[in-house]
Amino acid sequence: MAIMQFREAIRAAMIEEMERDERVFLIGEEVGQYDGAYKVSEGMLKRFGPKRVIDTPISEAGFAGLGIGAALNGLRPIVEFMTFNFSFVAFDQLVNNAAKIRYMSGGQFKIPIVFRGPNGAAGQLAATHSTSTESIYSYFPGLKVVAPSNPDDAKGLLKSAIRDDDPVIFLESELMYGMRGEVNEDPEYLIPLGKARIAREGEDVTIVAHSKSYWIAMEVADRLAAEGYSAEVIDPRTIRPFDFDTVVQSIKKTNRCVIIDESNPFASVSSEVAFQIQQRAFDYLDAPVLRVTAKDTPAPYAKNLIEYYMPSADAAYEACKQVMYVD
Amino acid sequence: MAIPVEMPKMSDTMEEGVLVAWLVEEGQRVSAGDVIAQVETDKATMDLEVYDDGVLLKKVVQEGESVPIGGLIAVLGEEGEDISEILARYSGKQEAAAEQGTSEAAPAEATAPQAKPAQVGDGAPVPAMTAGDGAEARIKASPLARKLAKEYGLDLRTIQGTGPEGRIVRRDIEAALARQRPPAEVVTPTPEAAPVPTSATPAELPYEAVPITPMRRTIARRLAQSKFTAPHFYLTVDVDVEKAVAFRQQLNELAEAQGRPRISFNDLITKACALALRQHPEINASYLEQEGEIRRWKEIHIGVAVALEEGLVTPVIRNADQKGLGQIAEETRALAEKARQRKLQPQEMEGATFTTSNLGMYGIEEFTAIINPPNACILAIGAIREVPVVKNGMIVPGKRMRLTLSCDHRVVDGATGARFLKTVQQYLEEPLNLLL
Amino acid sequence: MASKTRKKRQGTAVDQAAGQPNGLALQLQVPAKPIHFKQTFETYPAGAYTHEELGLSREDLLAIYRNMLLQRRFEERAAQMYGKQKIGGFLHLYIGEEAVSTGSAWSIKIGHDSVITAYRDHGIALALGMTANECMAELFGKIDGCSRGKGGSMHFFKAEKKFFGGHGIVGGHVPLGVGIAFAHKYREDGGVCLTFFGDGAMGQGVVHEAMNLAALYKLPVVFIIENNQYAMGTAVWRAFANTEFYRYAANYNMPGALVDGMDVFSVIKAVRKYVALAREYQPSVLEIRTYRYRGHSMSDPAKYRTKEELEAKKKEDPIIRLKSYLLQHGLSTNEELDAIDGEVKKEVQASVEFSEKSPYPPLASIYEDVYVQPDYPFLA
Repeated sequence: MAIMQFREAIRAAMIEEMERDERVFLIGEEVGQYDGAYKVSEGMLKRFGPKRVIDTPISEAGFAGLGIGAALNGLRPIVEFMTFNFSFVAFDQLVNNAAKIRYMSGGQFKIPIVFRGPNGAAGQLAATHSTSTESIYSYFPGLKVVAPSNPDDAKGLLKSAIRDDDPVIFLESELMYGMRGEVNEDPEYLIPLGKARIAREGEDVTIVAHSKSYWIAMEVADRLAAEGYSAEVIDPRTIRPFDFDTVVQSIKKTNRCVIIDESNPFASVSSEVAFQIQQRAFDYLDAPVLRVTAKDTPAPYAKNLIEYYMPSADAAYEACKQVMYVD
Repeated sequence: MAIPVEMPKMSDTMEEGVLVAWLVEEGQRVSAGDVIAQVETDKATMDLEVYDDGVLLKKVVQEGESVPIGGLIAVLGEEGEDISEILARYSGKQEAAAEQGTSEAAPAEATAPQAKPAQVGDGAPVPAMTAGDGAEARIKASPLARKLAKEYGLDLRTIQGTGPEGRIVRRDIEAALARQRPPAEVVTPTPEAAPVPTSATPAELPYEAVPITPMRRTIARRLAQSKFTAPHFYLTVDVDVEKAVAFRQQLNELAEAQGRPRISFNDLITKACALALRQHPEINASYLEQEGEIRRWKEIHIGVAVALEEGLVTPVIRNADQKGLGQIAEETRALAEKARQRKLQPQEMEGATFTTSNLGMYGIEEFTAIINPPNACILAIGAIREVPVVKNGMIVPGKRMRLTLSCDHRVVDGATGARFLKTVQQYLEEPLNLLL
Repeated sequence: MASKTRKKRQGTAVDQAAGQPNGLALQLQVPAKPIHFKQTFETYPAGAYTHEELGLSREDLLAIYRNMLLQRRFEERAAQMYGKQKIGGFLHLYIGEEAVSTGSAWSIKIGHDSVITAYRDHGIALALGMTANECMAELFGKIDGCSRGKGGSMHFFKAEKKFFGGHGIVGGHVPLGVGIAFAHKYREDGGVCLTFFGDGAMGQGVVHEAMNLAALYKLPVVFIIENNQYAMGTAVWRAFANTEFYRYAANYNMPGALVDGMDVFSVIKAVRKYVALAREYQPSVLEIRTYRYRGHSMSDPAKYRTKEELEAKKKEDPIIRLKSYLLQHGLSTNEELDAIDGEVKKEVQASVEFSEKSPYPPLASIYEDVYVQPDYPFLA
């Protein structure tokens, strides 16, 4: 084990996998000479050379499509988006080509590719630079979507994503890149996609939260514990496929659920999780499933507005009290 | 051989076409690829090509007529050929033609590679929403409350909901259950009392509302769960405790001399139970339905019920079979003190594999306790009684105590429980064995 | 010249600084005199080449003839089957453009070099040697179709031919062609990727991104613009300020050429040349002018063009042109060519019967081929 930053854990995963498999390469804006817009790929150009760490023009649709073509023809690309907000100009490539070519070809081709980069809001970046894309990409059968909350999960999951034969959208966060944590250094340390982590066991309410929201959940669980209530916190880690079994098992015990999700509310991850819960655990619910999300607006710029826009620990705490029927 | 010319499908959404113009006359010779008419579809006016060579024998459709896909438009063939068979064939087909698309039956139902979607609804009869003032509106209850009410045979109409807008929630069901069988004592192992009529509380009587505390709720939930899922049966034994009383007195004289804490009679029973459990591992067990197994625990942890003002808790003496009486006494006293100060840590109340409950100090001679889940048994300890006993042909005062073992029949059978209780009795009647 | 430069370039693989060698800064001083820009584009007109100079034998010519005819007869029959509702969805016919597909396929190593195209894909599929059976069965939506009934007319694929598909979004597949070429270069396996698209795709931004990336990274790709002069119903002059598409090559520092797509010899001559360049990691743009006789799709009566225009183009028909050439040069006889036509018709008729008999895909197969992962937990 070693203490690493989130960005270092991502980098370690990429370096290990590139050393393990000659077919893996990294491509994106500023990943090489500049050492990464957020220094995730720092030193990698020097280590692997320009054949395998490739700078691109500002041309997301072009290089995303290039990556998919290379994957169709036997390589295993890692495509970095400087942020997932920019993936929208490559949307057709991701949702029509990466997600569907295997299906439309009757299974003749596989597309082992990882699209990774920061996702969601990161302070006062305003509307175009603050989108949470997990529900958007999770909509598409054919894609897998991963959103880790801590350095250790980031490393274990990214390594699994790179080795996975299906296209994976891997969502990071600018605000978490500097976060430190214990990271397993075993080069064969893999965390399977599609398995949630029960971060904290409890009896009174289940809180489901991924990525940055996970940290809000842990804070709320601490506050509730101080008052004698125990919250079970589940980090799904993978959004597609989602580990509904773990969540449902937990709700059979706690009978209550609050979802924290920094996406906008309509047709979001929390929408689907809430639906699945009522379908699979209806008779175990003692209260409606509540969720705490970003506001149903574009992300604003002003400091007070963006703070108000994001899901807060206070709101999540209140939601937990509400489903427990306590004041 | 005559060849029918049918209305082709000319767009992905077309269902029928209108023949707007004939470009060829009857009797005229055409070859494959020739345009013989124009057809108006839902999208555009299209050329109607033929795919065969021959003479246009008959225009079946007049200009302006609409024909469904597959319907007969014309007949091609050689001069003088008999086309009545074709005309007859299509005259019946014309009406059916519109449905033709569906005639190629689809294979059987799709099966997803996983479980079928759950049924919509909870299966419980839900009264329909009524319009109007809502006087007869449906009963609002959480899905879990509905399920529990059904399981325990409670009528939701008799239950007052305490959730938002009067929603009946889990705690209301638990409260209703508790009213049905109110505990005489407040201990995880709650002594049973006579059932009270199930009629709802008369609202007109004056009362004081006591809020349900989290502890009370936990007690209610756990005991209701135990009582209504674990089939209880009870075994009582009358133990001669004369030697044990004397033994304890001797030990306490020693303890006082050495400045160690005194040993209670309860401590002797804790130790006796722990040693007996070692000999009867089938009692030191849990019935775990979800896991599909009965677990026999390899360690012996005895929960000791402690009454508090507002409820009760069960601190746990870990590995009691390996501890001396002095240590058991010391730990029990410390835990009870912490419990009264409400300073017990959760881990100090978790993990009991067996529990005892003692109401002897209140003069209760015997009672039955509710099993502390997921234990298989609980021992209810009554008061020590002075009774006349016959000894060497003379009536002398003797000391007796009744122990009642509640057993979960899913794990423990009558004889198994009896053998265990016998061992406990032997330890208490020959207390020196507790030191071995 | 070829082998020398190739060796030199292999060492650098993908060169970061291909746009500006050695990171040279742009010239800061704006010159006082006007800048003249000049580029020469090769042309490959119709009727300019003989089979001898292309090194094609009589057998080659008959095979080329047969292949173009197979595409023609296949699609005529497909049109009929669409009318009979045996084929659903969209059906975009290639009739008239056969010289482009056949000529291109005859200029590469099939199975080693890669091919990717748009939705008008029946022709190139048959040119690459896919069978009429697997193609017709796909149109019928049957399990024996080349895409197991999951792709339909627009989405033919064949991994063993390195045919990376027919694609339904205009221009969307063009960067895939660049990526396929990238993998050839990464592995240094000598393969090239022919990337076909129509004139309509030239309006899509991603096509221009793809061209820039290919030229920047010096990838083994030939961009082939099949200019049939109509994007659905919109004539090129109504959609593009500059309709001389070959000229766009100059914007990306690539060679470009203009080819007559109604003569299979012109296509072979041009594609061979630019495939050879691609093997030296020099990408290029070929504009091949061709013509589709049919509407954009089955529901299109093609009212946006005149009958006269269509009839004039039909006189340049690539199949008739080759037939005339064979007869004029005494390389074949009417009887021999009619016999080929008969064989081809039989093959196509057999493919219809094959497709009728082939079963529909089982409903359980709907969950297959979405993921490689065998136990993916689909929502029910």
